[in-house]
Amino acid sequence: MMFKEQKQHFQMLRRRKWQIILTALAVFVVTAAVAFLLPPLYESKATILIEEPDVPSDLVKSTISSYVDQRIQMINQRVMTTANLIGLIRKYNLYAGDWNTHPLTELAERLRKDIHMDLISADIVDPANGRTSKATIAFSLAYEDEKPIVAQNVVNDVVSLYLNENLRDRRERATQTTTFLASEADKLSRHVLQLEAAMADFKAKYAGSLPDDLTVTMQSVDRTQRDLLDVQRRMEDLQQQRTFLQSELASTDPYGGPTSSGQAATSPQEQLRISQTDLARLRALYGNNHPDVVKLKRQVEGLKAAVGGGNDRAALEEQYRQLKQQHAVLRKKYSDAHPDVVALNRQIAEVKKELDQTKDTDSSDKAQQPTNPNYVRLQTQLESVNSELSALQKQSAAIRETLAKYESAAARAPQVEKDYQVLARDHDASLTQLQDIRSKQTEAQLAENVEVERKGERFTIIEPPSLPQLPSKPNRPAILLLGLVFGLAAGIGMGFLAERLDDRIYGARQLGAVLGAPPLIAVPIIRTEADIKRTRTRWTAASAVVVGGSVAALILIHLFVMPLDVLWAVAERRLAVM
Amino acid sequence: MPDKSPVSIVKTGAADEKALRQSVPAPRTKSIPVAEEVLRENRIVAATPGDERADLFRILRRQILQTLARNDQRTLAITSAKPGEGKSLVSVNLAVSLAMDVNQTILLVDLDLRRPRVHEYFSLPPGRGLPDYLAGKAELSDCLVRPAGFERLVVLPSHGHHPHSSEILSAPRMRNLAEELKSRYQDRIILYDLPPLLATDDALGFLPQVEAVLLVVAEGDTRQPELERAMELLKGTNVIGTVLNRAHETYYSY
Repeated sequence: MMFKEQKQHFQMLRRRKWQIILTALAVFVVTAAVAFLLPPLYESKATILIEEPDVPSDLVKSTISSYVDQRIQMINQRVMTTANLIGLIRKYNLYAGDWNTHPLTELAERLRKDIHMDLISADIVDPANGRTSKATIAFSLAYEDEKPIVAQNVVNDVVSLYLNENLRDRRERATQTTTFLASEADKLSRHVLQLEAAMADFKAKYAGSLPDDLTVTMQSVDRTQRDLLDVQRRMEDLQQQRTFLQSELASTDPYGGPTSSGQAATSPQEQLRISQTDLARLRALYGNNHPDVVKLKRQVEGLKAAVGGGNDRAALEEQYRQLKQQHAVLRKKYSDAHPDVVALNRQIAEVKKELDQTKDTDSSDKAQQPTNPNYVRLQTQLESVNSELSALQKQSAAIRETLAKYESAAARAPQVEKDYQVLARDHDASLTQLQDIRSKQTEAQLAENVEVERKGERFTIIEPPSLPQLPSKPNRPAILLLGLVFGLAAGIGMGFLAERLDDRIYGARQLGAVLGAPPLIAVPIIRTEADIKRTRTRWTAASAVVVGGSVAALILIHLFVMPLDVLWAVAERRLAVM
Repeated sequence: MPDKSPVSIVKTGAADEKALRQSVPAPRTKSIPVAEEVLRENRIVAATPGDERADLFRILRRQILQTLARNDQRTLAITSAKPGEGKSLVSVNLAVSLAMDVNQTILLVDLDLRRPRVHEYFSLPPGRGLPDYLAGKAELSDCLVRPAGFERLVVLPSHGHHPHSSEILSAPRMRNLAEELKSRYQDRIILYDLPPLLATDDALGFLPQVEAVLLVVAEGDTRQPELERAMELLKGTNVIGTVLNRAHETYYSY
């Protein structure tokens, strides 16, 4: 049994059947017209497979590390440039009708949208851990056009662009990687060399302060200190000696003491001096050729050799003095022509010559030479002590200098150690980095080679751009169905609208609602024969009008739009093709 | 079937029913034969036996009779909001149905002077009508008609079109007539087919002369505002009910 609501709705539908039907019909007719008038579009599609590299990837870690999806998107960006798209538009006259009204960049944008790139993925199981994940294994490129050939050509061109771009992109990336790594390695190795030079400089500069040298330096310090101590002690001794000698010397008569040849000479110098004095006397008495003089000369020469000739000058001056004395004595007695005087003059001249020769090498002695052997001995001792002291002084100074150096070197040691550590660490780190980069470089080079020889991941066409036989759009049955549904909806909507807008009374119930009391009776429409006949007439007339109108419309279409047989053929083809 | 004496205004009616029955009905009330097919063609269904619609009108008849009897009323006006809603149809069918009840005699007066329809329903030949009487051009007896087959029904038609209906209807002559018609016969029910309320104010003017009003509403025709306006105009009168005409679903209240 129907509820009141439904009954009312039913009645409403019946009431509004004309609005509903006509609206639905109108909408459907329009949709049908659209369905048939839309030009067919043919879609050409190509599928490109992403092939795994021939060289297993653990062996050569491909430098193409980004996900395939991202890479495809990137290549998409590089391929679908406005320039490329405009090229395609011009080449195949795409969107020809709009060239005058739209700028080419806008058409390029339209083309970019019209070329469909879809990723095709599949479930893969990761052999390592058995997890399934989706990986992109291929992608498709599709384009629709009214002419199948054009669609195919466009897709073909785009596929080529993709493939070429992929190749170029991969090679570029691989090369980029190796180039980058090479430059990095260069930089690092230069840095390492710099560091090593710096370290060498440092080592040189702080030679004694380096941690390795520190023990040695400390030992040197010890040793030097000891040396210094020794020297100082020695100096102290010598100073004492000097003091003693000086006092001794002060209390000794420089010219006292025997100088005769009878007294035995205690030292070669004494002997030499005595001998030279004797020689001078003898020379003066007997001349140079006397055998005693010659013998003595030989003795003197021997002593000179033993002594070292240091007293040569002194002896010569002694000799010279003595000779001069003798000469003075002889001159008193004799004249310069006397043979003794002549001989003496000759000797004096020789001695003077020898004296002049030895003038600059000998230290200038005083004219007055002390004759006391003790005194001389003491003097000599004192001189040697003095010279030793001054030598020791110099030595001490030198040692102090050395010690200072060692000590400062030792003092610097902690800081030097720190600074050195810094350098050493930097050096180590850089070295490690360098190793790392070198190994990466090797890998990258290998990867580049793989790319260049096309052994890496690559795109291949598994389905070339198809030449479509059947149109992909529009989906005419779908449009018709949609038109039907939409028409019905519109119709019913129109019905409802009409109903809402209508403020007339429908039904006893409504009347009751309005007036507060239902009618006493509700009488149906009373139809008479005349009514029926009239209705029939109306229908006939209406049909006639519709038929006549349709015929007229067809004639007009035939004359002004498209001949009917052509229209029929088109419609048939479009229908048949579904 | 036994019935009351036919209406007669001018002359005193015949007292002997039986005599009347045997003879030709008194010539005072013209009896016009109306064929059944004609009736059907004119949408008078109340008389057709076995017709569902006749049943509807019977129900209406009963309800009206009850209401009128309750209040001791005998005059009923039938009107609608607009023209063309079928009030004349209802009036005629109701009159016919009432006339078929043995206890009643009915007088149906067509007061829609602008577009009188009652005579069309009965396919009455042209003749004198109410306007003629009111204009003084005819006697009442000349205007009254009794369709054959309905012994208890008398009709006072208004042939022709009279645009000045409001003046006519509000003239004292009409009022007097209404008075007389009411008082003349105690048990006769008078139905007035009034013009539509919203078209003119003829009906309004006449309403004080009737005791009860029946409003006819047409489904799919009468607008709610119109209905409300009509009810507004009928405020103060005794509206005993409404009839929904051209309904897609028949209905009656119990």
